[in-house]
Amino acid sequence: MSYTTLTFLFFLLATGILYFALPKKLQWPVLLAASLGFFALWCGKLIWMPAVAAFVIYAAALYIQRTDRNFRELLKGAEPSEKKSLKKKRDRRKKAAAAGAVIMLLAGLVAAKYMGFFGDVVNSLAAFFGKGHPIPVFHILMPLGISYYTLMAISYVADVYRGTVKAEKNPFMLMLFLCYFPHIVEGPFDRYEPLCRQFREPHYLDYEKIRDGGIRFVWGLFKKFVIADRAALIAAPVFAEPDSFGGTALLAGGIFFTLQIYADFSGCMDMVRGVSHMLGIEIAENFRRPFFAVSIEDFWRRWHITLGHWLRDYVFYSVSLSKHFRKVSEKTAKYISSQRVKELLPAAYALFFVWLCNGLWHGAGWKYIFYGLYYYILMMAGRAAAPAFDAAAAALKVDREGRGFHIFRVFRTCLIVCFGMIIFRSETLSKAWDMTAGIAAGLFSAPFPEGTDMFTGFGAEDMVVLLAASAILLTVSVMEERGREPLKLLTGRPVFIRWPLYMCLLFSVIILGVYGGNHTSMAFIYAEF
Amino acid sequence: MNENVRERIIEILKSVKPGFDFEEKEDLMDSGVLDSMTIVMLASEIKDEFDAGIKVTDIIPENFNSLEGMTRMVERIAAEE
Amino acid sequence: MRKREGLRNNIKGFVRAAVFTVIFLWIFCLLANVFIPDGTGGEDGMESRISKAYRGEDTDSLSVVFVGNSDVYRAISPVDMYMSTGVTSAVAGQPGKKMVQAVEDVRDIFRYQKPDVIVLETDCMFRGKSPEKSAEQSSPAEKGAVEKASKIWKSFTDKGRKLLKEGDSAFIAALNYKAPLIRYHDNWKNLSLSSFTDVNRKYRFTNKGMVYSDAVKPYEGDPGYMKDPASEPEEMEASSVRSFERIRKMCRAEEVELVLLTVPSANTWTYARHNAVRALADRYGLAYYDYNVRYPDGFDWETCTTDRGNHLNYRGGAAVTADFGERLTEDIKVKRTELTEDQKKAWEEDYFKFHESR
Repeated sequence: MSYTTLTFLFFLLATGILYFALPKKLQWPVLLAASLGFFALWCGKLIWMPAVAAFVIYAAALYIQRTDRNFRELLKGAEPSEKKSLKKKRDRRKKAAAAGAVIMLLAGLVAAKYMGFFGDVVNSLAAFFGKGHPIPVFHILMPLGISYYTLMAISYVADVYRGTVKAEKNPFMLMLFLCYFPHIVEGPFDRYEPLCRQFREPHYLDYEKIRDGGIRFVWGLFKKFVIADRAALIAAPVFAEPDSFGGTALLAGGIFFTLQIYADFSGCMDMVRGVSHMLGIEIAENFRRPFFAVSIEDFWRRWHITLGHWLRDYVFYSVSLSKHFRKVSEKTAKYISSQRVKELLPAAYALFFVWLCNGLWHGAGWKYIFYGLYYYILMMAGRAAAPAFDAAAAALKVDREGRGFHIFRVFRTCLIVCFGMIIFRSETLSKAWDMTAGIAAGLFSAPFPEGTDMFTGFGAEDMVVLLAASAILLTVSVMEERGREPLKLLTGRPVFIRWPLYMCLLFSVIILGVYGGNHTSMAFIYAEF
Repeated sequence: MNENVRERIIEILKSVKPGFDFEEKEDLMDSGVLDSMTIVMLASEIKDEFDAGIKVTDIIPENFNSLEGMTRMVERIAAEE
Repeated sequence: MRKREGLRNNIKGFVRAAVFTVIFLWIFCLLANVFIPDGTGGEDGMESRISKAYRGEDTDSLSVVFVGNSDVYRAISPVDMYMSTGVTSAVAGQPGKKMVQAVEDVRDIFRYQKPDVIVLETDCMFRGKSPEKSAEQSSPAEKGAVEKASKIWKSFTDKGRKLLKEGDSAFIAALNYKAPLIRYHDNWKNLSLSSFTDVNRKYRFTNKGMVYSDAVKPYEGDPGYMKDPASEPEEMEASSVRSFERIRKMCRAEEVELVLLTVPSANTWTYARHNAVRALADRYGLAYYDYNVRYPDGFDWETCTTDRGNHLNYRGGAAVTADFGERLTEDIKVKRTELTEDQKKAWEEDYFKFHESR
């Protein structure tokens, strides 16, 4: 059952009633039962997969902690000469347990998502060497949320290994951590400690939380049904057949898709945060006005925040601060004379893997790898060229603190992101290239959009609605960026102001929403991961 | 607090991120001035300078939000090793 | 007293929310009426209002009204029937209609029309596929406990999922029946001032409640789907029986003849059901026509179905209409409808418009 169905609302109501009516000790078990039910109704018997993941991390974490404890005892009574070897032994065991767990979890993810791609790669290599197709193409079933719960599981094991978190004694709590129904479909990637601490706290029925959560939920529905699915009416035909469209229409397709994916994903995040808020559980923030970013780095600190944090904490730092890595970068540093480049080196190395993982996480295919590396190359180039930009700015007497420059940077970032999205959304890399070339060519030669008669179901009124709704979204975003919480402002207004506003919001979703018999309903984009 | 350590850290900071005043600040990490790439560069320089290996678990706001925090951290790690 | 204050605030909050909800529902119903489309504008890519077409006709201008589910609104074409027999009719059909809803429909029909005949299509008297057919389709006997257990789990989750999917659409369908704001929400593009001021406006549909389809997906199943003529009559649900009684009584009170009809439907009809309806018809002396027992002229399962045997397409519907028109005039002796010249012209116009737009 998707979050946008009525049955989900009934599910939520039933869960809520049990959650608040039963004794506080039973609250998180209720959430667990609800989450398992939710999962089972989505994909039935595949529930064994997250269960196995939960068990693996449960066992590994306890083992790591116990190893620490055992060796602490041993170390107390040991001779100084023995201490070093004891420590080594202990660390080896901890590492084995952690690595073993991570490998098993990744194996599960790879098997579910990447076997097809991996098989293709091996097959093409083999074909290149004339050895036929050794790997049969087979597609394994994919359980709900595997890309999300696998990474969350890894973060838990890593945290226990690093000693920042105590191992969980109750395996069911870990199961709830992985399968919690608000974050299993599209994330965010919550961390074990903040989330499970909340699970154990008692939560009381609070009207304000229900109201605020509800408003946020409807706001998410608004973003999805009024903005995202409407923008899709333009984007989908363009990406399906880019050859039939002229330059301007292609650009429109790219821009509208960017709008679509933002409204869709952040709308879903609003919905799940709202739902979780009603239950008194705060889940992580995933978006922070990404299109106000001034650089690519800034953008990725505002878009899919929890993925960025995960990659930073568990890939970037792990790689760039590791001993092996330092050795490698030291060796290569010998061949480089520029001090600047030498400084950038460790980060640049590690970032390559980060962006590779980012790209790959989004999908199994060359297109996605390219997507990740697109941002990597642009970012590294930007850093490397920073002194050149500084010089240019000084020469042109550009005021870098000024508003104009700020707007330029935001605009530049949006453009880069838009082309990134074209890569992301196009069916193949070559289609993405064609589209980009088409935009470049078309902008100067064919300003009038060709092929716009192919936009069925999208009339002039829809454009008005889309622009108006986007303007509302922009206004709310600006308010949030300036720190004036729109939700609080809204609920603080007197009844005769806020009730009509609530009504408008509700009825715009119902009336202006793009759904129903005449439209194919669009599944949430990020739910396919 | 070792003034020498503090001075050397300021030097490193200046080389990694020139033109920024690191004194009297309490939110270097939280505000994004020290982002993950910068921190990694810092860690590399600190390892070279002080032979103090910064671990992932050391990358917390407490340690990187202010000059004092960084100094304390470096002294602690150097002492351990 | 923090807890008590908190509780008081909570209660105040929920009471306010309840008031808000009531106001919301009220506005919802109001808007629903505004959004109901004006049928004279043609179909416009939007679903036409198939269940209340009889309202749009002049009062007392319909001789026959057909009541049923999606089977009937694909099988009967009132404009065609008018041209061949001079008898006016309309279809009041809705997908998945239950007998309880049919009672409401008949009541509503009598508010606007005084037909000679109400034809009740019998598919809505029974729920789902007949028990024999579902037994056929379930898998052969299981072997072993593990298989059994996984089968039970699978059927539980499948049923759950089905229930959720259908539950959702069933709820929305029920909502749309009363206040179809969700169904017609796209109509915001076509709203005009008159939509708001003239909420009870009449609207005339050229199709009179018929849903047209010319897709052809032949029925490839067992041609003997009716099974054994001597089957035990299938038991109807108690609520269906009660509803049928109510309809019968209403018709009797209004001196309207009730006729039972079953249009060809390979997926849901069997002799068991036929016999059950036959028994009802015999008991109350009602005419009953079952086109599964004897297909109308020109009907075959290759070309006349739009979804492999569940519903008919226009070809099938035309065949049924032609034959049933004769039944109505010859057997049941329905007279040509008395219409004014203007009304006759309107019907002819509707006939041409209906066929033109194909």
